[in-house]
Amino acid sequence: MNSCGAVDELLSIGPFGDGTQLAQDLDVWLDGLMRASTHTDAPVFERTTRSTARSTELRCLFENWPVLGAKRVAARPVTIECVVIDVAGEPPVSRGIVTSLESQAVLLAYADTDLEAFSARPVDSDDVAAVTEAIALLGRVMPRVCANTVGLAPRLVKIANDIPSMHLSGSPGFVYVAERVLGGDTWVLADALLHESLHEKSSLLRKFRGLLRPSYREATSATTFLPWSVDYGEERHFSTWRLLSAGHVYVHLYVLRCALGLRREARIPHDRARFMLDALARPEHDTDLDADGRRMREWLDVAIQTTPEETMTRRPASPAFKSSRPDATSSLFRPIRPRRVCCRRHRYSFCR
Amino acid sequence: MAQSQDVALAREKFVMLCRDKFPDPVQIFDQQSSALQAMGLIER
Repeated sequence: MNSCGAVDELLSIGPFGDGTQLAQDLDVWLDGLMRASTHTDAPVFERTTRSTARSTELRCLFENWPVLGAKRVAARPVTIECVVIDVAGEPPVSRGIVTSLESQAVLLAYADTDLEAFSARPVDSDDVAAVTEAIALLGRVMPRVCANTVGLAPRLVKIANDIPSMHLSGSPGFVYVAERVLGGDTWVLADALLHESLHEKSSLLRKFRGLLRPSYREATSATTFLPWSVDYGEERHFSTWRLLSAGHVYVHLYVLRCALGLRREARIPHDRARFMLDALARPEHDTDLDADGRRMREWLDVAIQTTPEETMTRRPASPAFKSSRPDATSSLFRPIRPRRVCCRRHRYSFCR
Repeated sequence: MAQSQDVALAREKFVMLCRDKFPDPVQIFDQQSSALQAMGLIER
């Protein structure tokens, strides 16, 4: 065990870290929806028929049906290859074909971004080997987090565009990784896999835990300006949910990079996680959180403070906060447009 | 496909099935009810 073993354990247990419990919650949700919607008292989604593939397909169906039913974007058959991840399976990584329904969800989710045309690449044995190595690396340095996170997004689609990796909420269970990342350094691929799987995990946490007050809406959330966003050519203001979700990712990436001994690379996720957790503690964001949300913030705060990294300053001075409730007269207010921008937040740049 | 079910009955059934599992099963169901209606599984 490396020096991050204790924080690896912390991040893989309890209501926010235990991926097995989240997967069970997902089963209960799917089964409950199916049984509640039909005149049957028998379990519709029997345990014996539960499988990663079935679960992913049903989630795509539930998340997308109103749009799928109306648009039917894939009028002609489309075949999308993927890497199938099953961390407990043998082998844990294999090649697969995305089902027709999932393909429609993928195309719809992708069409809802401002990216260039969708271009999934065929998956080959080198990709399977690269993902296998990346998962093995994660399994060595953060075994518990790996086992409780990576399997929640069991489909990896290889894409060709400028974004290294991304997760789209409209295609639950899928992560997208650029071919150059699949062909690059193993730790970078491991970092990307963990990053995008964490977005999947946080979307499940939002669904099944009481993170945000019931009346919370993105459009009326307090927002905080991200000082580093100007380096990317766009001033970004994160809502309470986006701070919590991105902070969740950054804490894990900080721990991973520390566990790998990548101290220089750990600086950015540390500083951004610290900034986001501090912002969430401010009253304007705190009032958006429900009890579980506050507990999750505190859990992440313990994780970041107990990660052994001698060269890191524990609590560096955070960049100045600019936080406010949306107000039409405030220069900080950026109206959140309904569809395209909502989905853009789930891209790779989601955390930036 | 089974005959579609009234949304209120479906909500009640979902809450009964999942009340011990989630902090707010009503909210979780309502987030999904429009999709279930669009699928024809439940009726308004």
